[in-house]
Amino acid sequence: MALIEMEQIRKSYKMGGDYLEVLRGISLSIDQGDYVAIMGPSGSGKSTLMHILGCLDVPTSGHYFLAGKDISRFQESKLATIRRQQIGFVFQSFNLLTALNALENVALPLLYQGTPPRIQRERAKEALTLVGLGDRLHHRPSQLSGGQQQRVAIARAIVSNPPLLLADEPTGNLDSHAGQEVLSIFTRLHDSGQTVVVITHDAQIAHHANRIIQILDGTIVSSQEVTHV
Amino acid sequence: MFSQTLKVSMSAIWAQKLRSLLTMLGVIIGVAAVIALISLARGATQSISSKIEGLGSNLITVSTTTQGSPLSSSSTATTPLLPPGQLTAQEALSLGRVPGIARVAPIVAGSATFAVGDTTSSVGLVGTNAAYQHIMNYQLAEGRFLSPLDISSDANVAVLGSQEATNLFGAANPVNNVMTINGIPFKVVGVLAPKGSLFGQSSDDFVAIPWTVAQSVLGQTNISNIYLSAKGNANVTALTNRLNLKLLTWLGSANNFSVTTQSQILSTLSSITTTMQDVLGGIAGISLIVGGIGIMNIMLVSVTERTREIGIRKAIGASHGAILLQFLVESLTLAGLGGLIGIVLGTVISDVLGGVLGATTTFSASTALLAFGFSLTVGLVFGLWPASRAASLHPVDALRVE
Repeated sequence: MALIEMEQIRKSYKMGGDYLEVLRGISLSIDQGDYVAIMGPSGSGKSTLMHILGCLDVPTSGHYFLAGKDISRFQESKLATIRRQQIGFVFQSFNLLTALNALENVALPLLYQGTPPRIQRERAKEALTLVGLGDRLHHRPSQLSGGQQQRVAIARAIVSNPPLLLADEPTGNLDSHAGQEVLSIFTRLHDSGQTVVVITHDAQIAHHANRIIQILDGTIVSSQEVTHV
Repeated sequence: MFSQTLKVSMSAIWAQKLRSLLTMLGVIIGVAAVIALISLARGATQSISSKIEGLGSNLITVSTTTQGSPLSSSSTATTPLLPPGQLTAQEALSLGRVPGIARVAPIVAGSATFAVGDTTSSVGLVGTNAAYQHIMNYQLAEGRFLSPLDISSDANVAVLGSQEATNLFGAANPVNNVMTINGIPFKVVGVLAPKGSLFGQSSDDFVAIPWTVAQSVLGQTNISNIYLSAKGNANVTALTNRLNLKLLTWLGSANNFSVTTQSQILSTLSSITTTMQDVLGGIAGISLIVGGIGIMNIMLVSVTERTREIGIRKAIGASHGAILLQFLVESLTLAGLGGLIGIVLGTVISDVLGGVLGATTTFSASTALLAFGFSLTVGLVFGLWPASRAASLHPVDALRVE
């Protein structure tokens, strides 16, 4: 069953007097449990696509079905609910709150879901243990390496068991060793049934996925299965 | 969720200690000013009221506004022929028969020179009768007060206020000693217990002699004032009306006299102090509003600085309401904390100030509660705009900010 179904998604911005069309009719389908990489050079519209996929923004036209529901015309308040329940984000620059420790950062999505504090802590601890940081619960982001910070961010993204894990250049700020660690966590999560979508410009990273969707100038140019050896 | 939001706000405030303190300063000063000024004003009101009540229970004062005329040798004290607008002693004493009146003390007042040996002083001379002591609530320290016999026999006897007794006789007991008033010898028969001062005027530096004697000493034929006491159960308003009617027939015009009751004095006083408290409260309220603008200013800066944090929170699912609540709780916490510090500071200031000025201060829990409530309102009102700006940020735009 398709978790994500996009039909003719277009997005344009007003620049001065002109409309700049960033996405020009994207149609794609991502099954539940799939591991997909969306690849494209900078300026190809992949960030805009990621914003729409992640319900941070809405398309100008077209339809976006997430778990069978058309959310392409949703207001911001309803989108917040969708983000809260269905999507876990991993950003290039980690985006942890510097004033909170690892445990508090990971518990944050649960706070907004209204989970009781005791259960918040338990589940945040489980998620951090899953990414190998069970011994760094009370460290602040500034006391962690880049790789560790990104693993905290992954723990935060999966703590509420969202159907979709969405990562935007997750290894962009990491050295190759830390990057490999992050990618192996994604593979492990995928193996346990998690739907993963990674947006990247790096072919090597994209090759960890099952399928690579290439976009260029706002349209999909190819969609290929990856054969792992 | 609310308690965790409170925790988040507290840590945001704690992370910027100096800035938070400076932000709160406006509210702190406003609330401290309210508390200190109101408790000083209330303390002053209470001490003045209790002194006015101490002047005498159910006191009614009749004052004539025309000056006394010199005693002419041709007229006698028993049938004085006074020009219109002046009261005779007979008229004054006849007020005692007005229903509801308990006691009457005619007053013949003026200043005179008192001397004991080489010691002289010049203070108020009060010619009155035995009722004066009871109407004015004086206690005796030594000897006795004026008696009815002193009045009817025109006896040269004097009773001293405690202050005047010390002035003239020092530590010695004045009773049964002789003093002179305008050169005429008088025998001291009693000394009054001290009563303190009101509006800077002492109630203890005067000399009382029989009013019959005072008229000849001061060369007056009229009565300048009358002090009356009402019976405990008397209707003071009706009583005042009856007195006014009688005085009007004697004195011709309402311009020539005034009748003042103690409750009138108290209500005048309370209206003055209420106005004073309103004015003080208004000034303090303005400073609280200024403090609120300070909070709004800092909250706007804080929202701008934390745009990325807001974007992150929104990306992971924070709703409009959750962000609104977070920033509102922060401004409420700033204002509430400022209010609490202000209450403590204001109480300390009023205690210290009260000690220095020797004034009594009355801490009022309702004023403190009101000031606290007002500072919370200020926090809510001035926090609303910054908080709604934060909550309305678009997540994509907010995340783009470095």
